[in-house]
Amino acid sequence: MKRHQPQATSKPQQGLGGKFRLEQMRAPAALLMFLFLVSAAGIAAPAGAGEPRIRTEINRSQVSVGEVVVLEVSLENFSRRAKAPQVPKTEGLEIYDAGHSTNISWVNGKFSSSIIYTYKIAARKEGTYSLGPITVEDKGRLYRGEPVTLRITAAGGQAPASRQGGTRQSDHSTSGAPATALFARIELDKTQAYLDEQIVLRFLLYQRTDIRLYEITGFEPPTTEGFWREDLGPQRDYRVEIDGNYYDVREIAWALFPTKAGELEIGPGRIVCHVPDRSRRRGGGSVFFGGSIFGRRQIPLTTEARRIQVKPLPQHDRPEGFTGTVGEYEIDARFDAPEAKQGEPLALIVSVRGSGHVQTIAEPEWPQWEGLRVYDSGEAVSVEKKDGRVVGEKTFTQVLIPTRSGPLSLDPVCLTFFNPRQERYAAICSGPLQIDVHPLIMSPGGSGAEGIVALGDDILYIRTDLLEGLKPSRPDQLSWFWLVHLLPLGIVAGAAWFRRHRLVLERNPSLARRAGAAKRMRARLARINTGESASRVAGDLSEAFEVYLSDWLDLEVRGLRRADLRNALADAWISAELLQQTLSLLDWADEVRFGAGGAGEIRQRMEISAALVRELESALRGSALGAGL
Amino acid sequence: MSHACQRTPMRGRGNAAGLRRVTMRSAYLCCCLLSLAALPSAAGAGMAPPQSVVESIREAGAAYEASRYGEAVECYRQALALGWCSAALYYNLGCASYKAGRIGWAVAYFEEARRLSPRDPNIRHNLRTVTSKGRDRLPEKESSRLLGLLSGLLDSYSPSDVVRIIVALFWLGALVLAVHWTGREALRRWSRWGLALVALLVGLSTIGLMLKAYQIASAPSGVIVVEEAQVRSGPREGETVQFVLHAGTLLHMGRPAGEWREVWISDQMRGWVTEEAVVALIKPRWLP
Repeated sequence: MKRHQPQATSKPQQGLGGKFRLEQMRAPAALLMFLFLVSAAGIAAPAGAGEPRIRTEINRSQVSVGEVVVLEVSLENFSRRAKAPQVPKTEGLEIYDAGHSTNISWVNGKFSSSIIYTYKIAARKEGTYSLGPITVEDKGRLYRGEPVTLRITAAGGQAPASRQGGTRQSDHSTSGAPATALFARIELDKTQAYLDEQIVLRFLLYQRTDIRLYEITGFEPPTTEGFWREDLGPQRDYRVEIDGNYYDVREIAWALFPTKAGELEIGPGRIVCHVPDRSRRRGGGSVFFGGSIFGRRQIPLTTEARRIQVKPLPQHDRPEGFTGTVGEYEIDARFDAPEAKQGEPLALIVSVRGSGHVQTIAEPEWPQWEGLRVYDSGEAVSVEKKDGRVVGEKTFTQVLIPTRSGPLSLDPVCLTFFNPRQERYAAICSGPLQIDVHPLIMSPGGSGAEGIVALGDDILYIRTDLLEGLKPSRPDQLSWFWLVHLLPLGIVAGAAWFRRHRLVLERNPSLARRAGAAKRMRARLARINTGESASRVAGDLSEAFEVYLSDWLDLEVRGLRRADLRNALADAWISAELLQQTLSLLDWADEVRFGAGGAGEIRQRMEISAALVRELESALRGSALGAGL
Repeated sequence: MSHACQRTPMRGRGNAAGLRRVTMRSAYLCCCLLSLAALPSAAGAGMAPPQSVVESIREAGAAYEASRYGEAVECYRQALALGWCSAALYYNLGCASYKAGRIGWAVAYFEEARRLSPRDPNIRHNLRTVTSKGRDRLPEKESSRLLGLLSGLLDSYSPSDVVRIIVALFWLGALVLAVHWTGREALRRWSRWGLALVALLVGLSTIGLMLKAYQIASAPSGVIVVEEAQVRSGPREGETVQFVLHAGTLLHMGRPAGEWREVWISDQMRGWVTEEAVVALIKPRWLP
């Protein structure tokens, strides 16, 4: 058999399984069929659905550690807006979403719909687990399904099988192939495999090129109970030559991972092909329909069942840290930054990539690192289909916080797995993990300056000047404190009084003159130099008294006659004696200034003047108070 | 020349000279009064400690030198019991407690020292070092850069510092007001600006005082001093253990109930511990 290059591009997988292919029908017939289905659905819809119901089904209730079970959650009669089921996370189990499918049926006028969500559960730890309740939210209501019980036993509990390599079937072998124009078959890349080893299953539909195919319906993939099934991409179409005839081939492939040991069966796959019914057409089919829709017949095709011998993983040479990972992998570890800082987080990303059941790759063995605080930061899986097989990468992230500075050299991260191709256990380790951890202390700055490395982390020494700042624990200073701080209020009060006083003086000039008269008088007396000539001293003394009396009496005394001055002082209620002394002093001054006598009495007169000013001030202040000035 | 005429030219010269004189007098008065304001705080500092306190401190220093840390702790505590304290004394007590392996007590004493002298770098360093040795990592509250700056600013001032600032501003305000009322026109113009500035500073200080009060009210009031303290749901042995705290963890202390004390770290993490497991921090002083 010759195999041609695949034609055109890949088509969606659903193309084989019942999608209505309008391009293969004549237009009027297609239109009629479409209208018929739409009207049928319109009638059926009001018939309504039953009560929403959740059904849970698990393919195996007891597995070993490392094996995988398939959980199907079927939502019946839920609305289209129903949310995906919530499967509670359970420690010891890894749960993966494996997609969902919709099933709509119309039987005896009764319409029903269901959505089947498929989950794959990898057993990681021994024990009995109750998975559930699985909840679904629809139109604001929460529906609960029955919990599922799963028992997980220790890994490798099953009897070891004889070591036999898987046998690969020849591609497109003509032996046993039906020599018909239309046939289907399944192919396996091996019939013997280890637990969780990848097996590729292909479903092939052969259509001889001279055969016209209207439609393909009722596709049922081969049943794969006991396997974790992974789609291997979209449908592939290509052409092959068999015994001189050309065939168009439609191929769908899956990767299977056995979840239990023993002999497992791949069930038959089914498909219905619609081809022209030439005999009926010849018998007088409708001209209008061109014999296309009614002049055709269905050919159901069924593939044969196949058996696969699944061997448990070998018990001998099983390493200590093996946790059930099967495949061909390589490991790589790297830091998320080229340098680290003491006390600051740093991510260590460990990637395990290769071919195999990537979702079930177990966590690598983390060494006991020193000088670090370690926090688990989760894992991520990315799966892709490459060369007709499942490959991918699972990354594990650890957050590390260095607690000391300097070059940090970490033990590598290792993973142990079973390599089914080589039929032996293997351990792979990452490369050396080294990074420079910068100290916490900052650089002192400046060009070329280096950071200071913190070598120790201890407290500083005690104080030796302890006696200097000692205070009594409860000093009794509360009242003292407040008393002292009342002083500013006194200052403010004094200032306020002074301001008011100044305003009063500004409004009353005569009062202002009186207020400062004594002070100015004393200042003038102090300025008189007794060493000068007698006439000069007498003149200054006389002027000082005249100004003083002018200020007090609010008069210009200098131009007054003695009699007028006497009257003015008498009006000011000055005693006769004091009046006499004042006038006597002024007379003496005039005599010295304009006559020749009294020059020898200067010192005595100066002393009298000082005393006289005090007496005059007292008398004039008393008289002013009496007068209400 | 009339009397009024004699005074007029003198007033011109007298204005400048008088202004200088009044300014000098005001400044001198301000200095005198401000130093008077500091008198109450200086009053306690000026007192010499009695001989018994001096001896206790000397013995403690000698014991610390000789690495007899437990003995040093007892001697320092004796000085405290005699009614004398200082930030340095609490600091030394913290050092001796830490060296004696009592992390909880070390945290308590360093915290006291920090409250008395918040800007002391040695105290801050030792407190950070000792706290980092604690086993409990409390969740860090997220805060903005502005709040962090404000918190840092408040941390560097004790309540008595804030009161001291307000009292000084009170004095300054009174003096500026006095100058404003008694001074001449030129001085009064300047004193108006001075009054506005003092009012602004008093306002800011009052806000600072309120924030400080809030900070003190929301700060932890106790420390776990035992190696491991079980926090129970009620003040009885039989109650459920909610969580476990370790030496050096700062927490809030609530009401007592017999030999038990209510404590909490957050709204979610609260319960009761025995009185011996926790020590209350001294409330901060408001008066200088």
